[in-house]
Amino acid sequence: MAYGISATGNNDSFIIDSDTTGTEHLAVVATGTVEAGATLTKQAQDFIFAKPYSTTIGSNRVTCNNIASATGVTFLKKVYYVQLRKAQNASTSGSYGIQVKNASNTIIYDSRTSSSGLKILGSTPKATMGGAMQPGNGMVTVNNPVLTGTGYPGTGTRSTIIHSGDPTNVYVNASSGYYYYPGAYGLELNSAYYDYANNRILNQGFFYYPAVSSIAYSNSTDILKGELIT
Amino acid sequence: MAYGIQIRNGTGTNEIFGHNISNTHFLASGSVTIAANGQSNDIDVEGMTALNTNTIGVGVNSQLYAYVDIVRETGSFYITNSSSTNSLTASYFAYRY
Repeated sequence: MAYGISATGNNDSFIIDSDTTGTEHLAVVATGTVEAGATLTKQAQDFIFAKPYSTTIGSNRVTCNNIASATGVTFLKKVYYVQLRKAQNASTSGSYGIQVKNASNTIIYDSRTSSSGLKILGSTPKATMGGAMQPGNGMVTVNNPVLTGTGYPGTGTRSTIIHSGDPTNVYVNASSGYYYYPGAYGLELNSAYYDYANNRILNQGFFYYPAVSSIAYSNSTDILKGELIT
Repeated sequence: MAYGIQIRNGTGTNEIFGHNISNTHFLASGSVTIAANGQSNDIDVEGMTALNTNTIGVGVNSQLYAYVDIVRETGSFYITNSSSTNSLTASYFAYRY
């Protein structure tokens, strides 16, 4: 690097590097709530995180659908959300701070884009979680949280535990979920069940058609977990 | 912190970006249509390898969810469609943290 800035954090985590060509910081541009069944409008390249609004079983999960549109995410249950946006597309406030550009003159970080941050706590690679129907799924009675399961993609029995520890301030990415409830059957993919009583977040993925079919689905996408810092 | 960079919130009380706060970074997003039993072209993702899921993640989604998958490579990935009869449209989002 002849000029610019390169910073790494604790445990060699990536912070920023002006030598990159296609890596752009995602700034927190909005937080709030989305009602059950409502759609959060976003830019196509925004990254959305969410956590349940309610701790009540039946409402305590992040279940979303972003297949229908690149510019909206619909949630089955009411959630809190955090909306992240590329630095070059985010509005700024103020006339001082730090701004980083790459060699193509693209803004890849600007401290004026946000007064809060989303601290990443960890990730779960795709197909590593067992599929399951968790309590309050709305289709069939499940009395206790299900901690192991099978399901495609992947093979074998796997844990359903996405996160261990108090989930109260933990958001999961809502970028690759799907649900469908036409009436006779139900489907959820990459749904995150918040088990507040036992301090953990569990995977929920299934297709259930009473008396016809019951299929478990693993997490078909990488799951990212973060904590909102204000 | 003895060295490094820290960006704090407006009151200066909490670090929101920097040494102790691993943030997310955009790498790629879009959608592709893939023929039955086919695969997409390579989708460039800076820094990706086949194994570094602990720093670079990908989300892929499709209405034909049971047939879509991804294959990670060095500097890119591609999306596959295992349906023998139907093409599908898949959306994707790649990020670094």
